[in-house]
Amino acid sequence: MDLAAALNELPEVHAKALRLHRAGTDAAGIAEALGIDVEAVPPLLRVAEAKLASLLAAPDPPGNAVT
Amino acid sequence: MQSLVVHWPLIGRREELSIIERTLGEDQCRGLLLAGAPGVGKTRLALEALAAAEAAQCETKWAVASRAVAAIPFGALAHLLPPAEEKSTHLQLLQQAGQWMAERAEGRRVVLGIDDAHMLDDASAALLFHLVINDIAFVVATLPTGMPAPGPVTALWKEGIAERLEIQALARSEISQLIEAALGGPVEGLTTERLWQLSRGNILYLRELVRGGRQSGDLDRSEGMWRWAGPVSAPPQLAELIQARIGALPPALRALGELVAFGEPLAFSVLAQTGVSAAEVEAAERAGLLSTEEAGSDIRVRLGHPLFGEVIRSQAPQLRRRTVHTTLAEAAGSAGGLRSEDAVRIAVWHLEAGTLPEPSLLVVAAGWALTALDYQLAEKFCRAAGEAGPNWPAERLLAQALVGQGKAGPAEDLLSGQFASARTDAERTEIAGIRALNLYWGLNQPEQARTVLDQAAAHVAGTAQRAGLDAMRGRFLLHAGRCPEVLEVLDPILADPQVQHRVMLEAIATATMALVACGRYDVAVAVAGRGLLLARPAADEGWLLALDELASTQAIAYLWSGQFTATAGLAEAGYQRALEVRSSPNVAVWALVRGQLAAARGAMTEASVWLREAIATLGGPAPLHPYQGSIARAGLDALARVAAMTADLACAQAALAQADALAGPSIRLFDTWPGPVHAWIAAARGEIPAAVDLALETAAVARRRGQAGCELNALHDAARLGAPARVAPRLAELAAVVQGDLASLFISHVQALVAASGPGLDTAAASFAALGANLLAAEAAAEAAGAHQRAGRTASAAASAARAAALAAPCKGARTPALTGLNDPVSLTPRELEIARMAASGLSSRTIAARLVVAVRTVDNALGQVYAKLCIGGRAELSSIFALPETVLAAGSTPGARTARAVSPVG
Repeated sequence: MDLAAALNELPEVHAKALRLHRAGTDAAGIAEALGIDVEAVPPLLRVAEAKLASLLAAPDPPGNAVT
Repeated sequence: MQSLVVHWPLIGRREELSIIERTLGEDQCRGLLLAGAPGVGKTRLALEALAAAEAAQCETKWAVASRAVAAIPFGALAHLLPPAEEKSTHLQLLQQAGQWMAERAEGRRVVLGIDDAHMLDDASAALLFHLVINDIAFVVATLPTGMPAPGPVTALWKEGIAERLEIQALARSEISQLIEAALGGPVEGLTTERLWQLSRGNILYLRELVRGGRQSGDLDRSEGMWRWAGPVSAPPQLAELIQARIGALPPALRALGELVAFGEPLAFSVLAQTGVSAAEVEAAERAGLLSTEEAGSDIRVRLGHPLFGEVIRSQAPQLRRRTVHTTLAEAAGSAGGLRSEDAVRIAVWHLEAGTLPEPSLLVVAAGWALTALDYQLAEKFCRAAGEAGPNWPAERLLAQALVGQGKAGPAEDLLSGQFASARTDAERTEIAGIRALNLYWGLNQPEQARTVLDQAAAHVAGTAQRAGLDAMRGRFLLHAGRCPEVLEVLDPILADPQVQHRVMLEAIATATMALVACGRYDVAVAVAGRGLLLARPAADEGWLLALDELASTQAIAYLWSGQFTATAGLAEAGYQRALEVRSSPNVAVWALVRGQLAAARGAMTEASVWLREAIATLGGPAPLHPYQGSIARAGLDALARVAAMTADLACAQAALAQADALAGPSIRLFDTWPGPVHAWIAAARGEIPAAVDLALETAAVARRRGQAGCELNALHDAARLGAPARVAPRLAELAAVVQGDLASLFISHVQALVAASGPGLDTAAASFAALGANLLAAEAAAEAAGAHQRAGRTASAAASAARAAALAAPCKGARTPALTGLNDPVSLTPRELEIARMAASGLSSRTIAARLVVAVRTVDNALGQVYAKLCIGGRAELSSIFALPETVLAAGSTPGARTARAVSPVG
């Protein structure tokens, strides 16, 4: 699964947190955007990263040799 | 009585649990606060964490804080305290409790779970802080988001002593897995979508919805799959939960919630007209009652959760509903700057309030309702407009609303009188078109439909209007199965750049299907592509059925030409799009394509699940509209084929009986599309000569109708059933007509069969496998084994047979005549296949055992089973067998594929 598809598969808050983080937003900015405590941002990102890694590691459905 | 949902597995929490378990083993962090909205599963996660701690030899304690004990010092943790000693100070009591707890743990780490820690009394909160700060206990506590917690609890994460983990609602795919796991079987896609939309990943809400649906009988098995019939509503227990949450809010916020519940999504500019302030909306958003989003220069306001609206609306008294609707209608009228599609909502509010808006507003609203395929609402608007006096535009729209609902008789009564009243060519064409459609599909009178078109053509002078009538004539010819005539009628339209957009799209959709039936797949793909480019800019709900008809036909063109990956891409995207707009016919169309694709790949169980979904999604208490009936018929025919190929005769016969009941003069196309059905049922009964005759009969019908693609499919089926010599000459002729790799393969396969060429059939098997057509590949390999055997090439025969067995392994349940010579071709278990693949790649038994964490003896035993099942001598032959394309070797269903569970026969 590619990154965009994996992000779409995540729970909305996890996807948003990762997008903000990858865009360089700091913990305070992420906390404000998500309406959560700033102390809760690092654990949230850890869970989100772990979920993303699981999705990226999942194999794609098989294709065929023609197209 | 069958038990309702009894066990809900933990799904979608692997990462959270893994982080919790890791944190439990760390020294720096002394606790975890699991925060989240009510119902997301915090308590379950905390209990799972405690179970993991217990498994890791920790001493675990569990406490639940509640309002009932919040006023009692140490109320929540009383059962964890030592016997009280007289005259102890508060500090001494904390120390004694800590010491007592540590002693009882006998050196093991104490893990203390506390549910709803925000309701801890001050003394318990202080004790908790004392236990954690002195490293006596590790705490796993749950907290609802947005609720204040006692100072010592807040300090735990604010001061970095413990971590606060925000638990989120599940994602859609996780909800889908959870529902299937809880119900123990496949669930119709639309049902999953509805439950997802209503629960929004909240596990508590989902559980109560499912429980309520099972109790009421609305959620039941149909066609072997779980399906929710009718609208999904909140059951009483869930309504009480939500009511309690909303009831705790201040009256002003509750009133605001009521307005939004009856009007959402509401622009803030409309709300402001009712006297609502921005501060009130902000307060409601903070309380989780509302959510807001920017919408241009305005703010769009919705409820915080879809079920809030459900509950508020269901519990509002009738008089209150009228008052709220009146308020909304007046506010919308005062707000100004509304879009034309807002007419629908304003008209609804007026009618619900018991007032009659301007007829012109009702006509605009009816037009929008028709575009959104909400025919009942459109009828309501049209009838209301008629109350104010004769209204010609409303009458025309009313006829469409009746046709859309399948009220064919009343629609014909109305339409037959309207033609004479029409004033322009455009009106005459429109009325004649609707009437002809109603006669064709609604009343099953194809001849009368054509007569109406002829009569209209005699009264219409405009070229554009004539093109519209011809496009419809082409559609009727298509469903009569007369495909070459379709193309003759439509070619002038397709070549005319001046033709109206809508007429061109109709002509393209019809022509594409005709081209597919004629085997001109490359042209079909190109024509459909042209139509999709035209359709996309105009895509809205009203156009979706036409858009998906075009895209799904393009997908079938790819499928029949052997381009399975292209089919899969279109089908997956189309299915998701259809689910999002919750359109049953569109979901059914795409489920049908996905079922046919799975069947072509040989994934028979998966095919059966998709096809059942297509049929179930169209099913319901009302008789099917004939157009939907045509989709259902195609689904039932395809299911009957799949069932017959898997020797499930009961299912095949039941599906065929249902399909035959839907057959009629309006839908002749599916007599031959995609190929023979009765032939495969005869084959499943063991009546092979009859099966061949039936396949040839289908081919003959297709030939008479000029459907070269369908004819080729039927002839190849006859060859698969054992009559290659009888079909080879005609197949050679069709080679010049039918396009695509699959057609070429069919022809070379049959030539190899006629020549009894083992090497030729081996080549055909490899070519089918490369396309991903596993069942055809397995059959060709099995036929190769027979040819080699008859030629005395024993070693080659064994290799081909082994290859056939490996190819048939993913085609679970397939029992076609060509496979009957194989020794139980589908008996490799997933573990056997895994071990065989590892061995074939050169790994030793010891290495395989280490990787799979099993004994070496287990690996050797499994390999012994594999050799016996594949009739081979050892590892050297495994390598040649498993040197197959990756698609062939994937055991079981593919990732993202439908659950391959046992499903019951149809009927």
